[in-house]
Amino acid sequence: MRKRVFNQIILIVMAFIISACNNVSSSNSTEYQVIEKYVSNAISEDGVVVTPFNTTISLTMYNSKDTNEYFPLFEEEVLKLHKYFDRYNYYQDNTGKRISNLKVINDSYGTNEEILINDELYDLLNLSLEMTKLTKGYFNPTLGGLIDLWSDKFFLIPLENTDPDNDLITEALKCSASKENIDEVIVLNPIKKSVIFNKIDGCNGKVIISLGAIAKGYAMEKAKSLVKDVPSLIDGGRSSLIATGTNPNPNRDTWNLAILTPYTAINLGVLAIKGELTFSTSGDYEKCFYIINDDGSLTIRHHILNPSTGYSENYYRSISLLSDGNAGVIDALSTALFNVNDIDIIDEIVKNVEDYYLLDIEFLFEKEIIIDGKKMIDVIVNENFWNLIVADSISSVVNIVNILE
Amino acid sequence: MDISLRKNKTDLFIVIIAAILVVFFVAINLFYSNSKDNIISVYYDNEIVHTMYLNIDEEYIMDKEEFPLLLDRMVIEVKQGRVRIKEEESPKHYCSIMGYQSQKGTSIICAPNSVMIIIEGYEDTGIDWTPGGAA
Amino acid sequence: MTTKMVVRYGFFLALSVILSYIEYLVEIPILFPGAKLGLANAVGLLVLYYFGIKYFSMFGVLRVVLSAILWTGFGINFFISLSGTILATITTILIAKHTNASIYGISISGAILHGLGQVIMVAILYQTLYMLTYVVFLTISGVITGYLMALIVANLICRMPKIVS
Repeated sequence: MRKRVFNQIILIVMAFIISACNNVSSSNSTEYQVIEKYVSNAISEDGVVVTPFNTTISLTMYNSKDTNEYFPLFEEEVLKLHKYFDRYNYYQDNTGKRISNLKVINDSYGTNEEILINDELYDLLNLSLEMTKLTKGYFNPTLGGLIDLWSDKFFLIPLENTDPDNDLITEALKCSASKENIDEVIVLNPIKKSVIFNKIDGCNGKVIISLGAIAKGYAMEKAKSLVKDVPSLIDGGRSSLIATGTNPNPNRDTWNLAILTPYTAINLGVLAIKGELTFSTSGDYEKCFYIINDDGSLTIRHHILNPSTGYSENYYRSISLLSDGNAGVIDALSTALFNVNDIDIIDEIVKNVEDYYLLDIEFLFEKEIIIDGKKMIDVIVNENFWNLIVADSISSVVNIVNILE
Repeated sequence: MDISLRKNKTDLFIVIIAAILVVFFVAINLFYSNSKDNIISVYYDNEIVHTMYLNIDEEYIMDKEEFPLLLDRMVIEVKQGRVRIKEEESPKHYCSIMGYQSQKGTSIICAPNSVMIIIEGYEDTGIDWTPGGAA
Repeated sequence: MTTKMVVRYGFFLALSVILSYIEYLVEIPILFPGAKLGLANAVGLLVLYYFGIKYFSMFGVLRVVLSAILWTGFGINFFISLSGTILATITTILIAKHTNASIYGISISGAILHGLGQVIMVAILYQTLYMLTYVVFLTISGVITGYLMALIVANLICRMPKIVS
């Protein structure tokens, strides 16, 4: 009697365990899940492990079937482009031969050597030259030397530091091209797909091409073509975003993006957009440090440098751009506009870019204002952009909203 | 009530049943934890080096010898359904300030040490993307 | 229910509450935090032996409620304790009534299931099932303390005069 009861209980318990087993393991591979995968690291010629674009690039898809099908191709493309656009490392191709990437081009500065490059690098350089002119020089791909003076000082949270020596900055500026002469400095041959990197008179050191402000967006755009047929989010460094398709979330059909303020854990609002989008946001609080002025006040120095002055500007705390395409252009534009205070010039530049690339671009600028000792945000924004923000998500820290038509 | 004061065979039987019930509960736990919802992925230098579970308390110690990119020893702790960086070295202890996280889909990014801790899974907060502070 | 029984029952209840309080104050970490000796449960076993199932059935719950009124409050911990006590009480009654297990088996299984009841309530309240390792240790400590309490109770019963009707 006892043994029988015992056995019955064992059987029931086993049945439970086995059925629990079955319920969990057979998950429908096309039901809604959020799967984000990060692109892994590249290995340089010297065996050094290099993070692509010095940040995290990820692809989010909404079922495991899509992820398994698309992520490997996505990752391969991103890594390949990273190697070509990297100015710090050399890489080899499958045959062990060094590829002609940006570092190789920078090495050839002033040597008159004609470097044959691949389609994407050529395309990116060409885009950089175009953007330099369209943004009236506020975007500049030849600031490598200047950037190197500042980059070690920045951190993810503001720590105190000092500016680089002003003389060094002046020298570095001499070693950068202007919008007038850049086509003669970086000479592209569209038929041979080659580049010659010419000397700049007045530069005692080397001119260094740095594509950091545009390469990531460009790579994301290229990778987008691999996944454009399925819903996905391509994230670049948690500051640039491409969304493809419509949000498959069962609870909503818009992509909801948070817009940050410089204040921790406070969102400015939530942007709700149906369908494909390209979004970029930059702020002075992402990579920065602060200096203490003579009068004791603090000034933030951040990673977006004005090509004319060699210093960063403090007109805005943050800029967000929304567009229907071309993440490379948007990345570069976001950098350029950070240095422009005059709203007419901003309008002009944005229109130049819109017309040239057949894009629709909306912007939102955040300026800080202190009212009664409290930090608040004044917003300058295009009407269309503001209308896409969910009304009751707008933070109380928003003071004035200047809506431009 | 008449209860025997001497140990007998039924005792063992009963205790085993009780233990089986506990095992049953643990089994449910284990199966549930293997679904995507409780997995914590620890990334070092953009690669997953360790997997932890929100429902299994654990302290994962990373030494500079094994992980040279670290500024110093790092300890990641899972306790009572939450995860945090317990010990780490970075300017102003930037990474451990975040404290305990437990929501699925959130991450703790400790860039100075090249470490990311991501709670896998998804909790619909109404937001599909939030900008962050990665380099 | 005679007056005598009410008084004696009250005595045991009070004793159980006090022992519970002492354990809370002293908090002897037997194997690790949270595990208790279960002295209050030992008193419950005595009640089961001397008063029978009916009186025993409410005993655990009354003890937890009284403790809550007196010092713990009716917060999360109250529900956790209550859950453990209820599960232990129900299973103890089933075992005592339908099997011939001795005080040892009853005490040990009671201790194990008390722990399990607590863990289940935590899982429900916190929406997580995080106490995996905790469960294992709770069970092991349950076996040990259950045995100890049974030992104590068995010896007490031998040495105490017959006190119930």
